[in-house]
Amino acid sequence: MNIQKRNGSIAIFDITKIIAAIAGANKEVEQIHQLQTQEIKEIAGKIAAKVSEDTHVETIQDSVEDALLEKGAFKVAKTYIKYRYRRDLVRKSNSTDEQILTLIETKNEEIKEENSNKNPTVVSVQRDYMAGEVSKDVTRRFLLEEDISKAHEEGIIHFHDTDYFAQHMHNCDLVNLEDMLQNGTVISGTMIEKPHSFATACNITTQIIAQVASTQYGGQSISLSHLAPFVDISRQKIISDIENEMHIAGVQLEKEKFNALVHKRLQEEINRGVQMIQYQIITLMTTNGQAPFVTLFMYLNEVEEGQLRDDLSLIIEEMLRQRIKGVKNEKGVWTTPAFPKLIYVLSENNISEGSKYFDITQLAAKCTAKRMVPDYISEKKMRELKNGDVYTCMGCRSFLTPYRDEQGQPKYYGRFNQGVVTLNLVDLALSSDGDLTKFWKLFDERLNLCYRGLMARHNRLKGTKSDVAPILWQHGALARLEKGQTIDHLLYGGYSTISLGFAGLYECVKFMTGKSHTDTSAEPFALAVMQYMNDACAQWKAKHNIDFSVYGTPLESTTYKFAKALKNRFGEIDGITDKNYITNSYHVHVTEKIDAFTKLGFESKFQELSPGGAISYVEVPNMLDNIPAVISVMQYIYDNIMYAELNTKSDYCHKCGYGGEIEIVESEDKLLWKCPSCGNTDQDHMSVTRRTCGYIGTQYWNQGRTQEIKERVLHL
Amino acid sequence: MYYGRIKYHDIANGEGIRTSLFVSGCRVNCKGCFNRETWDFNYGQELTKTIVSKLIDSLKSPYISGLTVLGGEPMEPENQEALLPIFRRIKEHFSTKTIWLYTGYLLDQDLLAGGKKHTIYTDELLSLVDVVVDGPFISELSEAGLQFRGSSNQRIIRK
Repeated sequence: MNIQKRNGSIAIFDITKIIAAIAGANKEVEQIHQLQTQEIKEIAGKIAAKVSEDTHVETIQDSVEDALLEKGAFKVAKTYIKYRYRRDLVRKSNSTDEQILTLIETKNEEIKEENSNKNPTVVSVQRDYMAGEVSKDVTRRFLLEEDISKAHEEGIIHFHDTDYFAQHMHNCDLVNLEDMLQNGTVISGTMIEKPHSFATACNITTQIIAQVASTQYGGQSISLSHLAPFVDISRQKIISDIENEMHIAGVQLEKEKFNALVHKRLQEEINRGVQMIQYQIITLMTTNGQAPFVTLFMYLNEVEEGQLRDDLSLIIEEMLRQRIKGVKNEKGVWTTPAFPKLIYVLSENNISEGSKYFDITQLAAKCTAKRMVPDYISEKKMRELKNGDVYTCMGCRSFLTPYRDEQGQPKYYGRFNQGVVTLNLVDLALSSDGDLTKFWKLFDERLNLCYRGLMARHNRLKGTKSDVAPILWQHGALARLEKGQTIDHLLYGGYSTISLGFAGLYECVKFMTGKSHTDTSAEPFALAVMQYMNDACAQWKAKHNIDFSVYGTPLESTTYKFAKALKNRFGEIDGITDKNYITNSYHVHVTEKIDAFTKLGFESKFQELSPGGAISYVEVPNMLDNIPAVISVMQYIYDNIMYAELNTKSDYCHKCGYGGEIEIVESEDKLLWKCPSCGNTDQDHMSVTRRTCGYIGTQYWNQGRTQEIKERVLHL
Repeated sequence: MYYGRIKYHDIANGEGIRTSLFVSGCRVNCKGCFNRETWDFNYGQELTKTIVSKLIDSLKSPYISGLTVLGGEPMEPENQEALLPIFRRIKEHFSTKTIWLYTGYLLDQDLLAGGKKHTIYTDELLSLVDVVVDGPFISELSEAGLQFRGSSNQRIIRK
């Protein structure tokens, strides 16, 4: 017979536990009040007789109290009640001590490898993790309904960012930098007016990024277009400066020489500004214990043709040039920085040889080959999918939905995402035993769980006052609300989005159909699964006027968590649960042999059904010697898929100076990184950069993700 | 003519993303050769009409830069004869696609009129080729990081 435990799980009824509990209380009282062993057994027997299928454990404990009182064993009953009360207190009390103590002593393996951009040995990161542990605990015990918490713990869903959920914080932003720079802002109570030069504008931008990053937990994006107008402000200033200097020196210059001088000084200022952004972003540490997750958007056609666009091209060019160079690590070696992530938009005027800005595109290709960024957005494909608009994702891949303001103008900057709950599609498939009828029925149940989780996220933000993050809500990053005003109206009507994430489409389809979703016979089922989630979002949206959208979740440490949970629940199933990872979003399985073009073309159909965001990638070898091949891939992206990236390789061994790909080897059941040149396996003496979930990671990964990286096949 | 393999979406043997054909048969016999089995003129499979059509079809894609022929040794006389009609077809159908040719012989000695590998096909064949990578593989001159080549004596000659 089964009974129900406190956390909702089912356990087999065991009479010896009742006997042990009564005996425990019995031992505590004076001998004269004690029951005989036989009496205890009789009481337990009576209680057992009353237990029926699914009786709650609390009900059973009530019966124990009643039976003891009935028997006249008052002292034993009193002790039992006290004991029960104490256990209750412990259960309700905070359970984070152990977690916190181990993380401070860096013995907490889970936390060590949770986020490949956080270094858990640093005290400030530990502070963030301590707060995270408390938030997780509070979330589990008070803020989330028990069945949602339970589904999260069992890996049926993933309720993201529980380490921040206790506070009224949201996920990611598209920062309205234009408004902040043009109309001024306030940072930490200090008024910042419109800057008078490009370099100052860059400086203020990094301040804004740091502030924004400390008030939300997701990524943020800014557009270089918003810095472009400051190039001409600097140009005019330089012209007047030189004129003054010439006047003082009593020198006359020919126009050509004068212009060359202006150009030289302007270029120096652009170099300075761009360098400031690069180095500030990578060296800043936010209150979240990491460098800000920033994406810089590089879209020439975002500004009008002429001087402004040409000025923007100067900034983009410099940004790429400096990224190709890299940043120096502590040993003085030029390496690949993880941030900022760069996105470059491909369009008619830069995609083919002879087009106006093709030289910048070539530079971008070289930069991708060397530093894994930029990633690419196709202007053409995006217009098809996003109502004619072209805009950047927030951070790594979360896309806003098309939106028009009161004037009917496209509005993207200043908008944000409320948060994510991800559905584990593999668990859904396995839980339905491969039975299709059961699958769709259970799909409804699981979606309902996600829906309630997402509503919990939404409700957590409802009523939030603008004062919790002045930079966001009062001083222009997202809005210019009054003090004390709530952000509620920004949560509705499509201004912000909320994301239904999904993971493991490949394994789900494989289990249900026996084939990979790239197989033409299995593809319709895969697309139907995607459509089903979109339909659910549409229903929820109609009901609440909140913009739910389907999102190809960038699982990082969660891939390992899901994989372990699946093995626990279903055992090891060939080709489904036999790895330490599950496949992200709709991606083709990493071990599947498929060429770059076929992969991107195939995944494009699924990207269309992930309107809340998704990215496709191709895994390639070192391509520094073949930039024309990189350009060919970019041209294919332009024609076929909205958003994609190339995973190139550029590692560095500190011991021997080897600069190629550092490999993963298996040693005593553990995966290690090993330099193929000198055999070095000390992670502290090598720089490995891999893209794992949309961002580049540089702090190594958990065993699940490392296995996934090891098994990636090349697509070219 | 026989071939060892055809590699679609190859980025290691010439500029851009290419289709690479590894023909069989070689009398250069370089020391330290990575593919000794391809010295045999009957290694692999016969290059049938169907396979040639598939090969040429793969060049239709605007993202494929062209064909690379390696070996074995494409410039052995019997291979020259078999390659010429293929090169003609490619240039006739796809004027913008490039042909790269790898040979262990020297372009300006062995393949000139009077050279040891010059045949009645050579001049036309080479006129259809855009880039020749020539010279034998010399293992002592092999080093990592050589663009599109195995040893540093080999030359990339753009015609």
